[in-house]
Amino acid sequence: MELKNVSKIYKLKDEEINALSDFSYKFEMGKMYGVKGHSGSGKSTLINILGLLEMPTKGTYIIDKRDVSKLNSKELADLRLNTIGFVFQDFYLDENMTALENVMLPLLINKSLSFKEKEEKAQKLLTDVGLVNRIKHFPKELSGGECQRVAIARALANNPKIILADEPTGNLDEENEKIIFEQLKKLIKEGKCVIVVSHSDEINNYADEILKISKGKLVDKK
Amino acid sequence: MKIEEHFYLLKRRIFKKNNIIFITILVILLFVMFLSLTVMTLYRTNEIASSNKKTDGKTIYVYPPLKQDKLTTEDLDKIKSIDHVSFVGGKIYFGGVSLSVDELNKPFSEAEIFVQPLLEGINLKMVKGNQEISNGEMICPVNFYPYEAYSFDDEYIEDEEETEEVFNMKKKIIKSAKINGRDLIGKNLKTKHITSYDYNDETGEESNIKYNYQDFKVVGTYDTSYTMDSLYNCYISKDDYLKLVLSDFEHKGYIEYEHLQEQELNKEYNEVMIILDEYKNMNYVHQKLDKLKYVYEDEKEVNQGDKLFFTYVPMFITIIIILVAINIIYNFNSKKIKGRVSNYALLKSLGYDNKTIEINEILENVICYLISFVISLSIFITCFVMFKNNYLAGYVVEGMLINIPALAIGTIFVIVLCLLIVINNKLVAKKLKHSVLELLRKEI
Repeated sequence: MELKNVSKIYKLKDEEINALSDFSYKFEMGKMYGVKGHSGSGKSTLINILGLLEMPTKGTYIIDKRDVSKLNSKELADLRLNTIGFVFQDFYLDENMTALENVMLPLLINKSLSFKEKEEKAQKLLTDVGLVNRIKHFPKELSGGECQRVAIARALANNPKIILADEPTGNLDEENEKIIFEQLKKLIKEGKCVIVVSHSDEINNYADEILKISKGKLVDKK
Repeated sequence: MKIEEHFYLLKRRIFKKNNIIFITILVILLFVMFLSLTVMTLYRTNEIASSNKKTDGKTIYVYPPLKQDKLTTEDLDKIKSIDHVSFVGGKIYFGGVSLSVDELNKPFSEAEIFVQPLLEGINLKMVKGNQEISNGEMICPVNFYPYEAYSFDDEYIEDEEETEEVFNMKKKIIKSAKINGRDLIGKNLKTKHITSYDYNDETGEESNIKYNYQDFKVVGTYDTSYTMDSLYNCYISKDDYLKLVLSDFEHKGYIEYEHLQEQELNKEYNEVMIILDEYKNMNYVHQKLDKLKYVYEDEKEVNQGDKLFFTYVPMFITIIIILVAINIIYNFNSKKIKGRVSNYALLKSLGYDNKTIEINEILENVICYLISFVISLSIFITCFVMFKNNYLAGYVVEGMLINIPALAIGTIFVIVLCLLIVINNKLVAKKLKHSVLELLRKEI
């Protein structure tokens, strides 16, 4: 996964905002990256571009040896389905569905499995994140930490190579924050690339590399 | 995505409050549409279609030309030679005679049939047997019901001079009393009718009642709906009919019938009745009669005012309801889709393409529509059958065609379904054009 001179410019009435300027970086598999920066530094823009939720204004984004600017909407959707797993700060679980049904969401459009196999996989994923007894509960019946674990299980449903998490612990207490980072850390053992945007200093204890962003540019990496 | 997977997505949201309200409103709209369509088709079927189906619709009365007193056999021959004229004869053959059939009496009603002559030009839809009958034979309806459809509740309104009977209009067809005409074939029906009686003006009593008895062998049975005949209408030969009508008390003593009898005997007529082979040839025969300078009058004329009212008013109401339905579908879906923008963002971020999301939304609407259609139609059919069997039973017995307008209902089903799909698709597609982030932030 590589960004080459990627910029993102937002046009607001009479002014232009450079959310990301000439950003270049190569991410490796089997590593966890932390992205830090002040509000408005461009870290969310970075992760949104990485997750194909937004397209760069300039530059090249290569994922799985493919330039995303040359892909059509169906190919982009396929990448989001099979290659990338996204974890949002606000979980974005469907309130009308149980934990199991939420994890099933990305599996429903997976053509390689039968329906029964999909259900079994969803159950296993929830078991792996420690929610075997909460499968039939709705989001309003789960704690914040449990909701985020459901979101992680959902992000892993189609066995993506890349996991992106935008402030996954933003709404959680310290205890749950650790649990979430632990879950994410486990994934690099499977050869996945995990990129986490976080304000929290706790990320320093888990990430292999920390990228610091300011005014849309990479200013430091450790 | 397979259909079961679509249903998996839908199962939790199909019976949410919004959809329940939507279904309820659609049920009401559809019910009113069915009602207005039924009124329109009932009128069209009976008033307009009866012109095509009933013998009355293709019956014309012909009078002598100006300056000529009577129609002679020569005139009759001239008229008979006109193409499409099947029967020419005296008006004495018009109408019918009521006969009692005691052996078919029931506790709730005496059995009475109405016999008419089987004239040339009367085309029955035979179910069994053929249309040729000889003297002493009869054709009866396959759905035979020779009973009163009315129940009587007498109410006397007294004024200074007379009392009146007011009929309670409660009507009912007793299903167990229906007779299958096929079961009567080969049997003799013993009929009777009153030829004379004495009436005491002071006491109101009838005495010295004299009957004429005649047996008729049932040789065939016909479907009354094709000719819109009543369910007790039977056909006999011309000769049998003439004997009956001339001896029947209800006809005897009336000057008109005495004249008709005289004309029949002398073969000189003030007017004759002609029956055409088919209703569509009316204009042709009119033109021929005009050429021959005969004066004529159709037995049946459609009231144009009624025709316009009962056709266009229900049609107008149905169109208004469709427009209201469009408005409601649009507003409901618009509000629902606006509230689902975050959900679309989530699905897109998970890798769902726009088409899959659109199909799922359409499927939800279609399911709601099918539910409301089934509920509405069930209520409508239940009300229709109850109303038909109770309040309209008399009309059914009289031969009125009261059927559910299946074709019109089917058309409405397709139209509203298409509207639903098109409106929903446009609304959803408009939202899905935006990026995931724009949807998440609801910047639309």
